[in-house]
Amino acid sequence: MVDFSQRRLKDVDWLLLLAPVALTAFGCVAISSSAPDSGYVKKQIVSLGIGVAIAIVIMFTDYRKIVLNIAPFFYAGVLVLLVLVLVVGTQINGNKAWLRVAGFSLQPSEFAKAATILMLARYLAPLRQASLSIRDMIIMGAIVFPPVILVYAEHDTGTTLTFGAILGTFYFLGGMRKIFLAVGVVAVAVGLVGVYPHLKKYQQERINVIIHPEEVDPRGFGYQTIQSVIAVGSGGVMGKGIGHGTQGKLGFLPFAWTDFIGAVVAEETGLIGILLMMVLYLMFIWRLIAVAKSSRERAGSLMVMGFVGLITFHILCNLGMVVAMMPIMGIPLPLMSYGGTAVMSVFIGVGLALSVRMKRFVN
Amino acid sequence: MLEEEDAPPAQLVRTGRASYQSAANAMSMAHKSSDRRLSIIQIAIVLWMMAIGAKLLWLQVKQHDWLLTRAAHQQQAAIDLSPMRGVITDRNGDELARSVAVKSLYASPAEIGDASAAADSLSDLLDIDRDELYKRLTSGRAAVAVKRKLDDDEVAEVSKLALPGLRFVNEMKRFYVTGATASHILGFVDFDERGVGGIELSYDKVIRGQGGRLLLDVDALNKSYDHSVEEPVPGANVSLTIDLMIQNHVEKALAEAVKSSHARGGTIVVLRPATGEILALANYPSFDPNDVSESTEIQRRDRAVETAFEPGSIFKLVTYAAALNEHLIRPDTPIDCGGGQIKIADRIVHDHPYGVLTAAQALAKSSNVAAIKIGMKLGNERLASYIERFGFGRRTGIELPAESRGLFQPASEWGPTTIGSIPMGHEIGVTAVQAAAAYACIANGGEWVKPHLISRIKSASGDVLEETQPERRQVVTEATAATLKAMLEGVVVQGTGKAARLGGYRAAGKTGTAQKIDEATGHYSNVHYVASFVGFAPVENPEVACIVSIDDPVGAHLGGAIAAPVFARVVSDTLHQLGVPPENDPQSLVAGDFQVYDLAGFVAENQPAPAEQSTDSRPSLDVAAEAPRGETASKRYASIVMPDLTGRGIREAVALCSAQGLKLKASGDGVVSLQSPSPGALVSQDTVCRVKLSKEAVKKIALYAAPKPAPGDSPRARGPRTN
Repeated sequence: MVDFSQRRLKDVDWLLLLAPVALTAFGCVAISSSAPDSGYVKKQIVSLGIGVAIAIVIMFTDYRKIVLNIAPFFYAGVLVLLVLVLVVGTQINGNKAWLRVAGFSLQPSEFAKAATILMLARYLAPLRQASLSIRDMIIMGAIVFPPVILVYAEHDTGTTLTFGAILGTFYFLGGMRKIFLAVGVVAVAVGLVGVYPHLKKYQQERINVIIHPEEVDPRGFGYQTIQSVIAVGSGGVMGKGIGHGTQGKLGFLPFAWTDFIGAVVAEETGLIGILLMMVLYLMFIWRLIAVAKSSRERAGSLMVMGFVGLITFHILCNLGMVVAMMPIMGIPLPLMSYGGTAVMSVFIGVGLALSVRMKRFVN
Repeated sequence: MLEEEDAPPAQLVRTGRASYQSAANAMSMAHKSSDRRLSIIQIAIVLWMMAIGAKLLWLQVKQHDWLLTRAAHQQQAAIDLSPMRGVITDRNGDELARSVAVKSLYASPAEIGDASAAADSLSDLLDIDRDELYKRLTSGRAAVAVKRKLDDDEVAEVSKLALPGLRFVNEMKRFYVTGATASHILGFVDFDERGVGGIELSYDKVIRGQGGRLLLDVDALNKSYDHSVEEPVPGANVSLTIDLMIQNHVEKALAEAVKSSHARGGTIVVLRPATGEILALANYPSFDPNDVSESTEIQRRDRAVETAFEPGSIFKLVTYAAALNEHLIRPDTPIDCGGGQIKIADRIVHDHPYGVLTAAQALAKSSNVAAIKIGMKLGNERLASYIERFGFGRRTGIELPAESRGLFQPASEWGPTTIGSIPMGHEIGVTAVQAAAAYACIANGGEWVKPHLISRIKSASGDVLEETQPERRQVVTEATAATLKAMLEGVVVQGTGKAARLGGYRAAGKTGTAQKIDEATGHYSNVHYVASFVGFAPVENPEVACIVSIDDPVGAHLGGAIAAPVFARVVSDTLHQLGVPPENDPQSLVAGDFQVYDLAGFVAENQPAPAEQSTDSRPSLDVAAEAPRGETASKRYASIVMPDLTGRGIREAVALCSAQGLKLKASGDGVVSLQSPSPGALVSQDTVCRVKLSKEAVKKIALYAAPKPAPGDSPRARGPRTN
């Protein structure tokens, strides 16, 4: 199954492997200057090492076998873990999403995203028709449904929305009819507006702070958004210098090392640093899309695009949140936010993409 | 074949070659639409990234400064540290005002722990409102004041409590060393040590120094993890021109004069004519700047510079000075005082019925008709220009806040009867400082020197920052000043100002009794007056000029009766204080020829003028009604007034002194020629008086020979109407 040969090593897309490593390293720097102690960085570095190892192992594995033979077990295993989390999980910051395993906190919902992507790709791969039937769409929905319900039960709004983004990506690229597409866009828009009055007070306030930042109680639920804006803006063009940010370290920006790691980067390295970070992300995403395009197989292409959808949704929502263009939803920045499971799950995607790329000519 | 190469893994291919073909076709179609949709996703990503980039640009470039300020603001809490205000001293370096360090108690609510318990014990200990304190201790702020400016006991008690989150901060508290003394000069400060009145206000920037800050670096929970101190810069020290001893004497004399005359208030300004240095400036009523909250606005009012009053006859100085300087009159120029009447336009001004007097006599007797005639000779413009040259109608520039310009209209605004008023000090408002400076100008050979209170400003480290070089200008010629000096001496020797005689020194000056304008009617009141005396001594080489102005005395109200004795007492004390050696005072001998100086004698001399029928719109002044009662000076003042011993034999002197409980030491033989303390000085019992006896006849004073008394100018009719 795993095949190391000279020819194969030459064929590795090093940029695709190094871009996420660089981003994770960048994240480690920001975590070290905002997290309460050095344990956070150490764990993140360990996760990076494990992630890279997983990616390399997967790279030399035939992704088709993974999709066909391993995905269902992975998916089933993740569902078991999600149930287990609800029973014996550890609660951190209001979300009961963690399992304590050998001193590490495992977040099964992160793996659930990867597993769902694999299962959707597995379903779509053999379909012959150019557009999706309603039956196909329902089956795909049924694949996503169990993990969504279980994650929603953890009160993890951000991850729940992520599953929507993954499903949307597969519908869109899988060949959803334009008429459904239009209906879907309208439905989402109406849903967003229509859901507002039914949201909880704090959720409404998180939205209000985006629209009227000065009319919201700065100590209320708009607090994080306001503090994030202060962090970003006070960084200026050049930044305050790595380790010299004050917003995160002094606790004005709560959980700066997770959801607001982007604000820390903006504060400490300024506009230059955060633009550099965004360029790295774009390069990473572009490499992934290139792999998807070069794949001669639907399974490989859709699977990689599933990861693209996942990662891009996270990046855009998280940065939108950091610069107060979007309400706070608890969506971390892939690779950079502190969180080992999330890093590993992205590297699973990286490994799969590298594997797809190596298989692009050889069958 | 490409299709072969591109075939999906066998497991994914369903069955048969035909279906494989169609699958491949469908596959490439799906790829096409899929590629288009991939591009759409790419475009969407780029657009969203650009939107984020734009927002980043807006926040990090356009809003950077404001957000940086916000960040700094929420990460720092500041406690202001008051700087050490400079010391204010008198001319001899005696401290009048200084700041002392006291401790203020602040709390960091985030670190206090049990706010309720802390509020209980602190409010109890420091005598502050418990609920108010609790509210502050539970506020979200980084640092709150618990109580400012604690006394030593409170500091010790609070330290004993050893509560967490409390912090003492040094603050300054102003302490006025001499209490109420010189309060109108010094002014006072508010709770934050900012000058509010007097020199404290007008030189606040200099004295205050620069405030420092205790900066607490705080985290999001308002816990301070570090602090830094911006040290305050102490303020500059100010040396005043006043002399604490003289100021004390002056204030005492003023308070007694105001009380004994049941007046509303009063002002005394003492200055040195040659330099413009103010030696004392006192107002009554007064206040204690250590306890400002207990005082009223009236007590805090600095009458000497803030209040303009109608000067009355003391203003005749300007009229006479102008006429002398313009060579329109000489001291011996005869002036027909018109039997006490003069018609200006259609108004008749009434006066004591003097006949022909010399100019010197007319000034001494304070003839209004003469003053008006001289004024008319000058004409409006010329008179107005002298008024301005003497500094009336504009601020002297004394270093006190809220100085009044006085009230003075330029000549172009004068009415047809104005010339009947201004020469004798009506229709014009002046401040005591303006008037004192005008007399000092004559004393100083015609040169006006700006009256001032600050001699020197030194930085806290001792560098001289400012040394006052007062502005000077020649107003009248030296010859004019010399002539006028002699004429003003005549006022004291034989005119309305006899009570201003010092004994030991020759004095010159002018009395003034001005009717106040009744605020209710807008007319001159016939019960409210300002009694004043302004002059200088010694005549030959004046060391001191002084104005005494008593506002609204009840009963006796004439400047000569009320203000002149106070002048005598104050100036005599001041000259002693300055160490000016007493002269062989001829005035007292001249006085001795007439009568021994005391108030009873003065009363005899000041019998009212005959009643008159008045067509003047102003109420006439019924002098008889408020003739001074027969109190003696020693009864009027609480302490003993030094009797005038000059010209008396040793037996008589001993008798006078022992009657007052004073001891006497004499040297020489003959009659008393010099005495110390000088007559009128306030002394305590058992004071040893020293006298020098001399056989030599005391030399005559060089006064202008008085012409023969005019008809009607009987000694009993000397009392001026508006003197």
